[in-house]
Amino acid sequence: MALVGHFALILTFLAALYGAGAAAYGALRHRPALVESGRHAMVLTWPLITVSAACIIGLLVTGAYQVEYVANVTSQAMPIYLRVTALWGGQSGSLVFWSWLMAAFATAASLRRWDRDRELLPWVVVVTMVTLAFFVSLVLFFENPFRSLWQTIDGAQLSAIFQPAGTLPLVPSDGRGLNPLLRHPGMIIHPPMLYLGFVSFVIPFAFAVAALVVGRSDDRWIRVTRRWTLVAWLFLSLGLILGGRWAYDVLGWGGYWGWDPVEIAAFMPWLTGTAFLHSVMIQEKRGMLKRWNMVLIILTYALVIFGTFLTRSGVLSSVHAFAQSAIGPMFFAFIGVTTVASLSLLLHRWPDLRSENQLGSLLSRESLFLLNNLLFMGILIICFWGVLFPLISELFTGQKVTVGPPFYERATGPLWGGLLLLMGVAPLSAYGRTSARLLGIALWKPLALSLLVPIGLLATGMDSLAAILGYWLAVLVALVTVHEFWRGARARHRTRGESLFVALGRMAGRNRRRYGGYIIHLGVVLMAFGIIGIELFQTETQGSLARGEQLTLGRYVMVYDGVTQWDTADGRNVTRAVVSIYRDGKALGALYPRRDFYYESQQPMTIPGVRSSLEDDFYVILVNWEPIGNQSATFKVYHNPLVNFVWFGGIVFIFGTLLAAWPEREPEPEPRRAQARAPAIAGA
Amino acid sequence: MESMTETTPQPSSPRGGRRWGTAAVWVAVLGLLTLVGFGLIRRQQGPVGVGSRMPEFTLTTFDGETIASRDLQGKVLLVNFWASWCIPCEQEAAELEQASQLYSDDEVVFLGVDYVDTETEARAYLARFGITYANGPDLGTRISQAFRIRGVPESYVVGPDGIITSVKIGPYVSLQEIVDSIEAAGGGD
Amino acid sequence: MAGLHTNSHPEPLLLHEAKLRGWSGGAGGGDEVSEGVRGFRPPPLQENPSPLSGDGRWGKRDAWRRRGGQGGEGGTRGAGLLALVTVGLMLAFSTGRASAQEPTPSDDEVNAIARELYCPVCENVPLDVCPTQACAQWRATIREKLVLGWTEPQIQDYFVAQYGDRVLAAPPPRGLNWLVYLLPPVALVAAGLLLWQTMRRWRRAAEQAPIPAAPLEADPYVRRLEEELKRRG
Repeated sequence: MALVGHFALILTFLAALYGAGAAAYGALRHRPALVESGRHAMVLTWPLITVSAACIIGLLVTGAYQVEYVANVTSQAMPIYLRVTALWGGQSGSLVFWSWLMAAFATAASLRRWDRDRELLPWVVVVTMVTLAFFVSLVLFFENPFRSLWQTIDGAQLSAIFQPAGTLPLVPSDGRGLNPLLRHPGMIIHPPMLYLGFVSFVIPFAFAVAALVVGRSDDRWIRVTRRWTLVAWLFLSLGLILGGRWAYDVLGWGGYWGWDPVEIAAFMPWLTGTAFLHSVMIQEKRGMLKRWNMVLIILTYALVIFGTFLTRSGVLSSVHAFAQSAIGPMFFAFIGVTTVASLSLLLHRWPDLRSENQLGSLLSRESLFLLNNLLFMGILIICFWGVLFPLISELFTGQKVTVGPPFYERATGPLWGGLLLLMGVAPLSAYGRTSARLLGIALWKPLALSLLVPIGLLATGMDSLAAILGYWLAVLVALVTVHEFWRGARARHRTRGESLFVALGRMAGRNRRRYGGYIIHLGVVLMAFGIIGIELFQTETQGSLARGEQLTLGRYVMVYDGVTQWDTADGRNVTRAVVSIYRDGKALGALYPRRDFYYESQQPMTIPGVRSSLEDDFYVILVNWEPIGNQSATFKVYHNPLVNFVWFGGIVFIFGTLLAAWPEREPEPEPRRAQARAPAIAGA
Repeated sequence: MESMTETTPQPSSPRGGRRWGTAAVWVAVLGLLTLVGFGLIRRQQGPVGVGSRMPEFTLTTFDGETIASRDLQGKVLLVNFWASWCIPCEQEAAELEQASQLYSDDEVVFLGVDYVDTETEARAYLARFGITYANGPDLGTRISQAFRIRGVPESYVVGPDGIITSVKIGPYVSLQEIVDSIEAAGGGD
Repeated sequence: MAGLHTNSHPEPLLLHEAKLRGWSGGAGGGDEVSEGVRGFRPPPLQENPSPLSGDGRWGKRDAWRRRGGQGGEGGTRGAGLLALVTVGLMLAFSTGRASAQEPTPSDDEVNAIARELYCPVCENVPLDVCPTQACAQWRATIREKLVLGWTEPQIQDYFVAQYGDRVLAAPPPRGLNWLVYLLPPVALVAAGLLLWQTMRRWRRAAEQAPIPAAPLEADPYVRRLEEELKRRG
């Protein structure tokens, strides 16, 4: 099976190369048949790489430990579903998974009516296939999952695909097992979600590059990829949220985002992606910002590849980073080439992308969107610079430094606040001319109402200015957004006589992008509530307790009841403590923080015991314990106010994105025009 | 479908600005790529290798003595990076001490560099293995950064001319291995 | 499994070891992660109740623990024991009794300082949550220094002198490090100015030419809705 998978991979690589080559050649030489052949090759890559991925899964599930990858990431004790997810549990498998997604999406993107955009097709094929070929080449030549283990006569161990001379197969009796941290449900789908997001962004980029090559300066490429962009953004957001949830549940440090370089590496494409989502609306509505949108999508692609590179090359260290490997230079070369190529292309077409840029007013929606982009770029610069600076410091001064959360939080805090403010004001401003007066009229009611919040908070004695501002702005956004729903529903209700409820549903259904977007904003507001709560008001304490002793944190009292220890069937040793929680004297139940130790990988995992409510989380970590005899234990306890708003807001966020991305009935293109275009195939 | 062909000449006023902008963008992009490239090269470099000159350093031992690598020229040197929290280091600790006893003449010097450790622990470790040769903390991780170590334990054997003759990543497996490395560097006995 | 790390070149991987206990998250941790991780082993249930790894390294110190009294702290049991021993030794030398004249700093006080520091070995992991044995030793060091009456800046300076600037949560503002603090605001202001100028230019262009009305939505329903909204305000 390993050989089948390996050959399928080779064929995929060849098909991708041929597809890119044929499409490019066919486009340049006006040979539509060749372009079509290239497209067929592209469609072929997907079944081929599916075969390869299926082989890996087959090897994983059947426990073929002679294959090095299988020995590294699975073990006898692992259940079947975990073995399947081990496909992305290791470096080489995850690269195959990435490639599989790329092939799938390229094929999906090609299954559409190309009538109006025939000339873009070859270049979309080129971009997607070059990307695919790159990742498959990494797998084939550097991190091949189909390498098997062989042992020479003198006991040395080799790994190779084909049996080297003078060796015998080496079949370990058991594998090392998947890293225990990867066995949590959140961690099982976090990498796939992120990869889905990353890979999906390649499609809009491919269309953008195609538009540049061909010389089209309209927004056709944006309209065509609108749904792709939204779906990519959905998956990326979901991946980030799930990563946070996993960190909170399983890593046991009471938080969900550590401003770790690899977290940031996945966050940066999200920042440019969000800026892009907003700014393309301007291009669609007003035909402005053509060049800027090109810049944004090129940046997003570069950051996607760069992010994948950072997590694999060892250039930066972080809790996520993989060990240093040989693929670093390959990634670097690919990023260099694609960035320089995209940039050259863009500069070449720069004059053609001139748009009729007119701003009716500095308070118009276009202006506010521009401001939104500025703030997102600001956050991007902070993140990028913070991630890069330790490298610069080490290169120029030899001193290693850490750029940690204090830097990011203080630098980006005001920018997030600015974005919240914009979220509250922009829905009320119109395209074109909007005077300050009109905006003020629309804004004053929600603003006045929202001011109750800071007044109320100050009255209760809150002294954190950041929190007061944050909550005020969040409530403002909520009021404005709800007001927008109300306005629309009421208008519909008046003209059609529908009940408000039905009006709401139909209105949102008819204008999914707008109202989906508003729901996303509401999701962000909820998340902001939670984030401000936990970041600014988290309290913690640590203490050692003998049995029956208690510790206090705020209104909570925790009593230590006892600890037990046992071995489980899936190869781990569990030490579980029982604690009882009381708040204001009232008993709330028991929590079971525990420490799992996985024998095969010699790794401990700290699972907190958490009591969740909408108001707060009481989060207990078992830090240390004494042997069964003395039964005293050390606990670290966090009180996280409002943290569940983050997850709840995340659900609303995802729901809003789904609504926005849900297919609407597209207006049909007139048949006459389609026929007239058919003969004109290859480019300008 | 729109395909732009230039029918009107470019307005000349933004041209100068455009040149500056283009130049700035290229400088930024290429500069960033170069930086990352350097970082990558450095990462790929690995520890200081056989055949290169030993980096200069100063070590202040736990006993308060200051040892400068420059003063040790002409002698065979074995620099061992260890830490008290490093379990594999324990595998070679006794052998290193034995080896240092074998070469009790002045021509072969054993130096232990304690990487990122606490003094109490370090002293306890040294006492436990009865280590008598000079050991000191790697203050500010300067020495380990100079040698570009990847982890502990690592040992570097340097000849009398200051050129590194062997690099051992991981613990020595036997006394003989240590002796062989020293003999190869020119440590006579 | 022992075979796997004596056959391949026995990388020390202690950096990895320190990094990995409890933290090697992220996709792909599988193959690189498991090599060479060792050290933390909870007591096997059937065997002797010593809390530490089987090599008996700490066996002698059990006696101290029973005498010591105050609970251990973060990290493995061995580390907690060690903290105990250290504190016990310190207190023993100062007063001769386990209940010292000065109150032992609470875990919270240690954590408050540890939170602002980063583990020197594992990268990007704050010292108060790092579960490795080495980090536990460093927290014990903080505790020692607190007992001696050191202030937080003094403790931070000590850690910087010992382990380099890397232990601080943000680069100390000197020399090249100023760049990390200055570049983002400068870049943001520059971008803001550029945007401002561009927006002004576009505004002037608008004043000189009539604004085309925002294009109508293709979907007739949406068009009607927008009209209604405009009317009803």
